[in-house]
Amino acid sequence: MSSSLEKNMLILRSSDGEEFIVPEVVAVMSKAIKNMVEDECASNTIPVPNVDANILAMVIEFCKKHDESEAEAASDLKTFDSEFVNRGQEALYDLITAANFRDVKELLDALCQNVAEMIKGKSVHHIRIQFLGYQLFEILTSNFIWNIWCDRDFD
Amino acid sequence: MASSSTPQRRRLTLTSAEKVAADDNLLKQIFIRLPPKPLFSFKTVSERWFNLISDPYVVGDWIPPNSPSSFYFRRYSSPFSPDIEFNHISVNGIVNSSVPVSLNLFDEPDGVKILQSCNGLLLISSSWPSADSVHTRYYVLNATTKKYSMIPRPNNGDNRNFLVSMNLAFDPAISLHYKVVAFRSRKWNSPNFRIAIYYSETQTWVFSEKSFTLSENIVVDNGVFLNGKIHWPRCYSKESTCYDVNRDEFLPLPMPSCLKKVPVFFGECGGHLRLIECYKRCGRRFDVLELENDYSEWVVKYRVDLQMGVSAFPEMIRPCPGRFPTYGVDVLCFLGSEVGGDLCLMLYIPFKVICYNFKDRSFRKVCDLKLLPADVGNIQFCRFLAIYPCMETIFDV
Repeated sequence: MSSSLEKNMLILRSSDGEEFIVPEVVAVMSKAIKNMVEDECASNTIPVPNVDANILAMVIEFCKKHDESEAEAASDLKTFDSEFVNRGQEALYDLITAANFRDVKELLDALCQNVAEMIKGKSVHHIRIQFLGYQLFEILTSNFIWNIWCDRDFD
Repeated sequence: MASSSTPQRRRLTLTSAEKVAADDNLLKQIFIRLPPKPLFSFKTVSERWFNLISDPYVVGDWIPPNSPSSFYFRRYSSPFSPDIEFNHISVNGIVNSSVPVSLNLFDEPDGVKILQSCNGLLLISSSWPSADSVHTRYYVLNATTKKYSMIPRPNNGDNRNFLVSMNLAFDPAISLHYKVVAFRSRKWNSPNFRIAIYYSETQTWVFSEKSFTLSENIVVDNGVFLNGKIHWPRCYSKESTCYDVNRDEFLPLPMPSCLKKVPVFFGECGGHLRLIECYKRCGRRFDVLELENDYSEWVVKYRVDLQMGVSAFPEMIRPCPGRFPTYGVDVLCFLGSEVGGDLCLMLYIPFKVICYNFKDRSFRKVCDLKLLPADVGNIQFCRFLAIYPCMETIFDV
């Protein structure tokens, strides 16, 4: 496959083995990949562990759009961003992990902004269940919560 | 997700959201984008969240809103009373539901008044007597956190004890510390003054030796702080002035050239100075002007046509027998921003606050507001002393 690869193209391989051919300029929007390319420790195929094909495809879509749209109006890009990040909970948080792991700053910023918009109206209890559900019991029985309870009304 | 609330059976695999929340760095990236109120309330989520939100990194990197989301509107508490109160209004209506707020955080028997709003902080003074005296006290307030600091009166023994003007200079993009710029003169209403600057970082006044005299018809109240300069409008003149805080000097500020109109709005919007001028009252159409970055001239940014709102709000029009109808509309301020796509102009029509949305050119009711005649007079004749746009911030004073 790499023999037929055009110049300035890279192959990204997801954790579940799917391969994506992307222009180098798009791939290096991930700082992690950029460092690998610059250090020349990357062969034509770059493994992207921890990121499955589904999520990797989304990240590539985002980077392609941002690469193409330098000439486009900033407001168009903003519209694209807000539509792009507006997706199901699982995908949203998986994308954050991927963007953080691959160091794609613009994507991470847009995603974190979206999470902030989503949670700003939520109750503290809802937040605990959503983000700390696995340790809910420990939190609710902690001295910290006991102190808050004693100090003032518990919401 | 429902099973997650059963504490006894602790899962081994985390959900995607839990994985994100397990990473301190990612949580901080989310925290710095939250508005102040949820940010502070989420301190009670857990001890770890409390510590992360209290981290200086979060305050230092917190992204302030880029536009005001509400405004304070000064009004009299009752007819024939000099007591001042404020309505706090956002695009969604009156904030805090209740009747006017008197900002009664302060231990001031006669209440306080807002002098200026600057990037989320308010400059406040005791409200009686109305002009400055040696007993007047000044405060800087963060209206979101309700925290405030008293600013001591500047005094270096040179008998310039009268404060012609007090101004707040705060730009969180440059520094999290604010400055208060005082114009000090020897007697009331004197156009000749010297400047002293209070630095919140050191809590000290620094006195300038330069002496300035300004034209008497520039009202140096409620200045607009932008790009390190404080700007004031001037009626019926081609030139006003602004004060460069860092260079300690006054610079010319052009005014739009029509000498027959008066500014009905003068303020910052989207990082630019904006101005709306009208003949006494707004006509059917008016322009929103924006000052070029090099301060060379004012250009038309938007044109507003009030006729488009008449079908929804017929009370906008005041019939004039035998003449064209006039529009009973008073400009209050801009809220929101172009970047966020929610830029709107707040307007007062009899007994209502409405907003005009620039994106879809629609008019919408915000809230009922029954103003006293004296309040309406305030908007029309000293509107710069009546309306204070405000944004929410977490910054300390």
